[in-house]
Amino acid sequence: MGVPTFFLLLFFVYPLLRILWTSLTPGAHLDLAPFAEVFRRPTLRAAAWFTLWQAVISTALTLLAGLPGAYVFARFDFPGRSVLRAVITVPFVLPAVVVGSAFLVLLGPAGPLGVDLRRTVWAILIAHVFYNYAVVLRTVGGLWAHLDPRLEDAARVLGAGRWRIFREVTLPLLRPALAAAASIVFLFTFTSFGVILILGGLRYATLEVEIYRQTTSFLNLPLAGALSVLQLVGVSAILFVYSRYQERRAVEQTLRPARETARRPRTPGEYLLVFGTLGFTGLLLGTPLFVLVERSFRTSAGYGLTFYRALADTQGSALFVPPVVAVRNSLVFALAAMALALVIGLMAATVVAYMRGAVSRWFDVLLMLPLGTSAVTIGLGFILAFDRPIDLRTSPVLIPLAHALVAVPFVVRTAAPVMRSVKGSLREAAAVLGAAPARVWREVDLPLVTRSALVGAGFAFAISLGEFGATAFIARPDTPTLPVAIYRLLGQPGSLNLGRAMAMNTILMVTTALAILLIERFRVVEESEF
Amino acid sequence: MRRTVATEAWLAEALMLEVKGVSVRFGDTVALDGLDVTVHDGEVLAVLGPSGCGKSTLLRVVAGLQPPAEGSVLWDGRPLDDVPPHMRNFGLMFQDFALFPHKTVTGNVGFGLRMLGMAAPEIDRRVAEALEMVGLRGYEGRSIAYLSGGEQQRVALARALAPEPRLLMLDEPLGSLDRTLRERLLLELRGLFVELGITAIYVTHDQEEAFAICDRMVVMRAGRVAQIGTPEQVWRRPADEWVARFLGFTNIVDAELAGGEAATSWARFRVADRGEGPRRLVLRPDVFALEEGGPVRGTVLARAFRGGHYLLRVRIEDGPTLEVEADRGPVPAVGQAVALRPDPEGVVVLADSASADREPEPGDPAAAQVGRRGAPRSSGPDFARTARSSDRGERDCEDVQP
Repeated sequence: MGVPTFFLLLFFVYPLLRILWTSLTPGAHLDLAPFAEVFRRPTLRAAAWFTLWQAVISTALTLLAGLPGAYVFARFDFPGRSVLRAVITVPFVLPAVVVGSAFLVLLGPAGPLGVDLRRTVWAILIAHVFYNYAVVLRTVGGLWAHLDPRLEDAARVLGAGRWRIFREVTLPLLRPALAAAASIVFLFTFTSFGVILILGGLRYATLEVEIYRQTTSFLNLPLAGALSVLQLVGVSAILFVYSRYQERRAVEQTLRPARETARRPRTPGEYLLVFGTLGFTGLLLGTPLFVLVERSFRTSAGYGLTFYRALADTQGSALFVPPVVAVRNSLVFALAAMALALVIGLMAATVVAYMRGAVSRWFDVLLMLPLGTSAVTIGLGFILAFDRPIDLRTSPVLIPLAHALVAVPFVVRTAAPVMRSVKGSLREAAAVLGAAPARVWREVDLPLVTRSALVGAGFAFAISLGEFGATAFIARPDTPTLPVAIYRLLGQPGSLNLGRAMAMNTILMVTTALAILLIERFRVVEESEF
Repeated sequence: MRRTVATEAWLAEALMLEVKGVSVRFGDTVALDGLDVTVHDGEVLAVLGPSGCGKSTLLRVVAGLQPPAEGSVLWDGRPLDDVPPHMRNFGLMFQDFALFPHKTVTGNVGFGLRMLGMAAPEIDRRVAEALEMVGLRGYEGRSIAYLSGGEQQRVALARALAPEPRLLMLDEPLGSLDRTLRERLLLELRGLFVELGITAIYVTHDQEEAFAICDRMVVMRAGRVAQIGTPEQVWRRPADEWVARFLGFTNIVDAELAGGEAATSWARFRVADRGEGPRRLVLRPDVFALEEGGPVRGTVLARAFRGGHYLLRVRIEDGPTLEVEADRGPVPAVGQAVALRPDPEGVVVLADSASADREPEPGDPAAAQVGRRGAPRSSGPDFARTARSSDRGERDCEDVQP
């Protein structure tokens, strides 16, 4: 218990306290001026308002766009269903920078649509739908697949039309999943950073973007701190409402195994629905990524690997190091973060699984907090906290530490349920056969948890690879990660820089997608808690 | 050599395990209540009781998995209080077998040997030996998931036996198996115990299992000892009404004892017991002889064929309904009037009727137990189906020696 607690206290609680301290003491003494300033400045008020409304609209749009897909994947069986479902999950885990870049080229003047939607709110909203589509599909579709179809049959026999059935039977039964999906999407869009930084330009800024600007452009740390505190309050409120809602869970219902509820489409109308939905999904998710990849190969002299070769030099870019170094950095950091998250996550999972009662529950909550905290807040906390007396600012070690902090909850969530499900008698059997406690853990818990720990590790790797919000604060100019380098290149003029950014995006996307698809193979169904 | 002779000898020497005044509480529930139990060297002790009587807790305390609130456990005179489970060198076969699902048969059976720091070739040899012993030769590389219930049971036994523990404990080892398999494995187990001269505690809720496996048995009730004795002693002389009912005897009646005769409101018959005054009597179904002119008269209500004998339900004139075994001569038909004579030696006289429990408490698992075992109260389908070995009164441990 000691190590994970120490880790969380030093790298999570302490930075948050430093943010609070900084925001409250802009001079040498206690002063609420930074908070007053947030409400006085029109740009900040606008940012707060924009953060809220774009999150609401994004959530509503995502739900609307995702419901048909959720239905089709839940109720119909068609060739390649499980593979498609895995592939659809990929955009959700893609780095925000990749998504932002993809829509930048898709909706740009040279894009296939021929309209320039850059720097408009539409670009942001569509990107958010793209990003969170899988959340609706998996959360709502997951429950939908288990709903008893006989309830709908019963309503039909009682004379209800198709729309009535949906409104009066299906929708109320789906409410817990809808609420869960909406909360998650809202949380993600509320704390959206990379996408808005790239697509929003100077016109649209969320609180996250403002925190970043106040820190990097204006060096107004107390104001950034105050924004962070307000942001934290908002996020906590969402999480609180969500958990309250989850407790007062909707109606008890008997769930059916998913394979019993799905069937082949029969009527032409059903075929139209299935293939129409799949087509829409393919267009929505596939086009931006396709354009991204296409751009990385398209040079003024036709298709080629020019941009990939150009990754090896600094010519024409404002980076201090060749972009290929960023690729190497990212891989090294991701491996380090993964190892760190695995070790700390397994320790924490052991504590959560072995201990019972209130201590374990509180520890569990503490472990989950970094997940609900925005990346930008973590980044700001790191630069405030590891200045003095613990000076780590010049050390690249901060990057994997920040990534591990975000990744630990994933490892815990995958490993703890498995450990908890290990029958106590197995451990006792090992003890009676002569295994000391540490040996019991190594011989019984560790092998049984390996598979799910690998899943957690895969997530940790993918998260670290694409992490941008926190890294943007702590990465040194000479040790950029892939997302940081991409963002910097996007800000540079010239088709060479854009092409290089797209090449790096492609590398990042392919690596992340591979990691995630690998996880899907390892994943044991119904075992994991997320 | 008759086993009973040896039993006498063990009692005098080599006291190995002593459980002294052990109490365990879980919140308000008392699992063990000042329990005293001893096991001698080479003895197989059965712990018999309804579920929830604390028998599994007893094993956990002995294994060191459950620290007792009071009392202590001694091995060869030395207290084990500060010895952790992995240092005790006891074997425990779990009720659910607790086989490691991620290890092969060899991985499971060899686990204890690896913990002893044994070399690999030696482990392989001992694993092969242990598997040979339980009849699973050639199963070494198999995965646990693909074994049947009976095979898993054998692997669990081999795993517990392989490190040659000083004491082997088995927690309802045959509980989850079907009846035929259970009876076969029971005989094999007994044979193995005798062959290896093993010291063992065998926990079960099934009295037939307990009778067949042990040298001596402890009947437990609500965390306390209800009776200790050889299977024959317990069978012939249940210590109290609760034990009698738990063993499946339902013919328990009030009587006035005087001068070697028992008087009830419905009959008078001779008893060997010299007690005087009001007593409760246990009339086992096998103590009755169908005999013209017998003192107990009644009408046959129901008749069920039990293989070696018939079990009759006889309604006594102005009296209770009794269960009667009929295994000789013509069997009376339903509706026929019969006369019965109880064997004076077979009648069990319980303690003073005023102090004895008349009925098992409501909710007492024993009540359910009694209904399930071979003592049906109705003539429903269960009545005819429940099988039972014929001359159980004669049965003793030596009968099942190979």
